[in-house]
Amino acid sequence: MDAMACSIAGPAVRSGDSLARELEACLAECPRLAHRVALGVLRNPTEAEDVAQEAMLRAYRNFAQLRERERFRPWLVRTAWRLALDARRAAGRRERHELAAAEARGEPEAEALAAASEFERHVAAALDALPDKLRLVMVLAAIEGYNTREVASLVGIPEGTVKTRLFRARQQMAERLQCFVKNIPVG
Amino acid sequence: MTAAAAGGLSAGQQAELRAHASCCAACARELEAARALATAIKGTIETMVSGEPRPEFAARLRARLSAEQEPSRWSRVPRFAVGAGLAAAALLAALLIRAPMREPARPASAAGGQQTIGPGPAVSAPFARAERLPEASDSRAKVRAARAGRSTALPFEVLVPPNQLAAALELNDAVNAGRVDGERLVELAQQPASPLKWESLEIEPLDHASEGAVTPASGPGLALPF
Repeated sequence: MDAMACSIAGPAVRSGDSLARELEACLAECPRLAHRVALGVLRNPTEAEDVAQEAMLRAYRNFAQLRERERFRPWLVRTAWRLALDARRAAGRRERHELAAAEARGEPEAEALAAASEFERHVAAALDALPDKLRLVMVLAAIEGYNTREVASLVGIPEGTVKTRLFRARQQMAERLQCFVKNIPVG
Repeated sequence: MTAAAAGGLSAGQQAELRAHASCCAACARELEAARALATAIKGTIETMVSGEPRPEFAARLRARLSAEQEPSRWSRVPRFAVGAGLAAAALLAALLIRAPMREPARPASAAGGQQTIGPGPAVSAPFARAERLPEASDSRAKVRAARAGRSTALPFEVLVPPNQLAAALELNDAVNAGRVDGERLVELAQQPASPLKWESLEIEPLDHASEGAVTPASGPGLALPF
């Protein structure tokens, strides 16, 4: 439990209540997970924080049905994932609108694109091009410390299915990024 | 090579590929490049999702959670209990609305005109007897006065579940002020979920049965509800 997380649940729950203690533990442990899941979709820390906040708030409202850790974390991952996809779609509409307006004014689109390197942008595009099922396991597997068994428990599918989806996701991304294969130094 | 780098080969296939790459420089380079690409992709995605929430994240979430209602209260209340509460409120509203219409016909009792609706003195244990003031907007003050023993015109009594007197008085005030349609509440309280229908049933004499089979669908006046 990190220091940031420890201070989250305090005033919102009554001390001495077992439900409150369980809630406090879940709220302490999980904002980072929700934030990272959202980052995997949005890649914008501020927007990911908004999604994580909303996901935690919904978890708080439904906590009586999510008391067990085995249910809470998968529920939170799914909720954060869906909220992030929704936010991404909304942001996409907004960006397209703003881009069209900027182009109409003759301004370059460079600002957002300049932040990331070309390779990172292509990886992000390849990740976005994956089907949702593959993309979710790819993101969860990239979150520090999660092996295929933990990803399976978070998504609620067998571990073998996670391995299959991971392989397909990596293969599809590698095929999309073949043009970079000569530029990457072989270690 | 892409499949090999993505971890999609079986142990046997991997051994075979390694054996071939050990004696084929071109394939060895291609395999190394594919592995380097896979590693770069993995590292890039890990970097993407490695961010931490800002320090103010916790304070913001704490503020939002504090503004929320405590989850252990409502989430533990079964839905049927909520329904029962609403039904009780509707019943109470029905009593409150009907009482003023009957009020002039009732003789005032010796004890300040107080009357009783329901079982009278035999009050069941989970209910508390509360007084009701149909038209008054200051009903709480009158109830307090009645409890204090002061002379107050209380036309009758209704039974209110414990701790719901305040809600009953709120509802009374809302009905009197016209914010709640009391007549509609009464209708809803009296409306059965699925009203029964009565139909006459005619049965033919037994000696006609041998003339032809009578199916349930063709039987005269026979209406099966299922």
